[in-house]
Amino acid sequence: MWYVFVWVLAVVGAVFEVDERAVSREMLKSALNSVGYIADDALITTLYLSLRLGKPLLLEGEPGCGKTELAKSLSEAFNRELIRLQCYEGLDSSSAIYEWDYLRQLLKIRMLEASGSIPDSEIFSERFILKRPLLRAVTHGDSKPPVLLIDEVDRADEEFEGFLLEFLAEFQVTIPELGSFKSKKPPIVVITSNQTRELGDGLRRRCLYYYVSFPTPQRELEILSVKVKGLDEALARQIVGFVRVLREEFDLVKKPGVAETIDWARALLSLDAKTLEPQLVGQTLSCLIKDSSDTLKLDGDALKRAVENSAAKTS
Amino acid sequence: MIASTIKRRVVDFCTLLRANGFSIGMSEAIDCASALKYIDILDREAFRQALMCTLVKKADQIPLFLYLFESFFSNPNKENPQIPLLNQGTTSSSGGYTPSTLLQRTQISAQNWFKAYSPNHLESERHMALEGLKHRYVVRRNIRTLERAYPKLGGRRRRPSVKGEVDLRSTLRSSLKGSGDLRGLRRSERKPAKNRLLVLVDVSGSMNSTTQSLLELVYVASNATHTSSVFCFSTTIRRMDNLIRGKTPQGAARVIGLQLSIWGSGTRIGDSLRSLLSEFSRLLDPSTLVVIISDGWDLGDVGGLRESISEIRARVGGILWFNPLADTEGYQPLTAGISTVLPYLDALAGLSCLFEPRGVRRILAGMRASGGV
Repeated sequence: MWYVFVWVLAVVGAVFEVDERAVSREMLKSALNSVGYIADDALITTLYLSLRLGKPLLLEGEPGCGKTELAKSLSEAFNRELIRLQCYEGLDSSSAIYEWDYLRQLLKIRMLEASGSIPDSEIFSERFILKRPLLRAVTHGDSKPPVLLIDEVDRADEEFEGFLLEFLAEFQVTIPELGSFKSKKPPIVVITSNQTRELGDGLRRRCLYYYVSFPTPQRELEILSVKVKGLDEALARQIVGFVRVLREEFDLVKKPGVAETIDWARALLSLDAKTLEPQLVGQTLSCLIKDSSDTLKLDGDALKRAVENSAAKTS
Repeated sequence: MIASTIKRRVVDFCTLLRANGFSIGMSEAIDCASALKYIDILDREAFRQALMCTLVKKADQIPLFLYLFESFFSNPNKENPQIPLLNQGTTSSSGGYTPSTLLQRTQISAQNWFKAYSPNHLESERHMALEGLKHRYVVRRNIRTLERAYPKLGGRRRRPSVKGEVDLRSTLRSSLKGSGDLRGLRRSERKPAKNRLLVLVDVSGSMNSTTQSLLELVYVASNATHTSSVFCFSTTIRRMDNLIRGKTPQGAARVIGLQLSIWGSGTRIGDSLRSLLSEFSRLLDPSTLVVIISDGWDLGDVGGLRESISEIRARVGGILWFNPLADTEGYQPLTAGISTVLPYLDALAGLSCLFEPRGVRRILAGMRASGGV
């Protein structure tokens, strides 16, 4: 049934211009499915409300569970530009909002001086601004508002959250020399965090919140079938079972997320694996395990036991 | 339009959440009411998700929210709602992390926690599970408040600043970006170093009446921040945070049971502090706040205790002492242990402060009013 929705969405989108804020939950789910993003009903409901209420969506959760991918899929599903702001320690307003193009300003001043004119306020006009992601998101001339992904906001300093508050509440950016820029149609904002530090209450209050946890085995199987074409279903079940055993039965520092499961499935597919054997698992474990202490926890016997347990769970 | 009865119920639910430590303002309540316009409120899952995404703002609030939601909306006419069966509608073999199974797991782990380590407190196990969930969230907030309580010292790294010192390197770099002309002075300041929290929990026999709270505290303090170090002491001292950090309550309980053999024995606070000074001296610096949870009943040498606490005081930013006996009315710090350490403490407070919403803030406000911190 969902492909009928996708077809309808494609036709309507091509003819009229789809307003993503007016789609139903079912259509939203179908649209995301069509670009290979398999989401839970709870996430779909939260995303739907975020679009309807015009509020940013804050996604927290385990790394590799599809937080960033959601924004990418959203832009792909609704044919919107994706503007990405990757956060890092030391990120400041000049990298995130705007910066004056000093070089061009100086050239302009020298040209004016050479022609005998006096530099005026034109020097501080929109022409001389280098737009960074947040300003780009509010000054898009297009009728289609972009998807703004503020990725790993927990990596940025606490002070940077202060810059974000005005933007998230009003979808507005203020440049002292020019005034405020406000978007006619607010962008779709997705913020992700890996919880490496506590985010401020101000930022949280301006967003709808969703915690992205590990998917159910059934959901993970669906994701594998969409993302890894040509993977045998029996092998996919074994992969999902094994990853589940790793997450639940081992105290791993870095539990494998969906991204790791997909990587591992692709690795096994490229090795023409038909079934999970302890030796093969050991050789390809680097796709799943990303911490040296975790490698020690999965020595010979433990690995063998994990493969056996996963086989028992799969059956 | 949302029916006024539903609105009233939602407002009541917000009040219930506030009473349980959720910070819900008018904007959240309005968002919640607005969200309900767009969903079918007869669809229970969607209704719950609409409330959750607008009222919950942190992952650790989710289990308590789910518990309160099920209690509140399943038993509207009961004064004392029973804990509902939340695994209804989910298949037991799914093994996933849906909200229902998340709550189910939390309850199970909380129950196992108390089963394993509070044999004297099993008479109201269901109540304990609720207390566990609720307290864990409150204690985490209080621990984080403590971490931020003291002024931060300047660290090694620098960051851009408006009022800091002139940063020649940054100024030069920015001028080179614009054809070498000096565009203005760049300034920078030292980035504040993170404060460190050292939690010392007395697990001797005299603290048996608070075993349950102490277990919660050890677990939460180990996991609340990356900068906390948690030690348990009685006749000797043992570091716990590196053993239980990142584990589930169930896993942490198992580790404590295996590793911590000193629970319930005698008390030698002075000797324990001396061991701390000799073995973990690198943790004691001016950015460290030491939090001691003990009743102060000491069987060791008072002179040794004085010597150790004075040395610790000289090296760290502050010492706070939480005493379960101080919760009783008319308490006087007269025991030898407490009266010895009292001059070296920034504050002496009841243990209950750590388990009450804003309990720590109240203490800190009192200290600030009297010129401390």
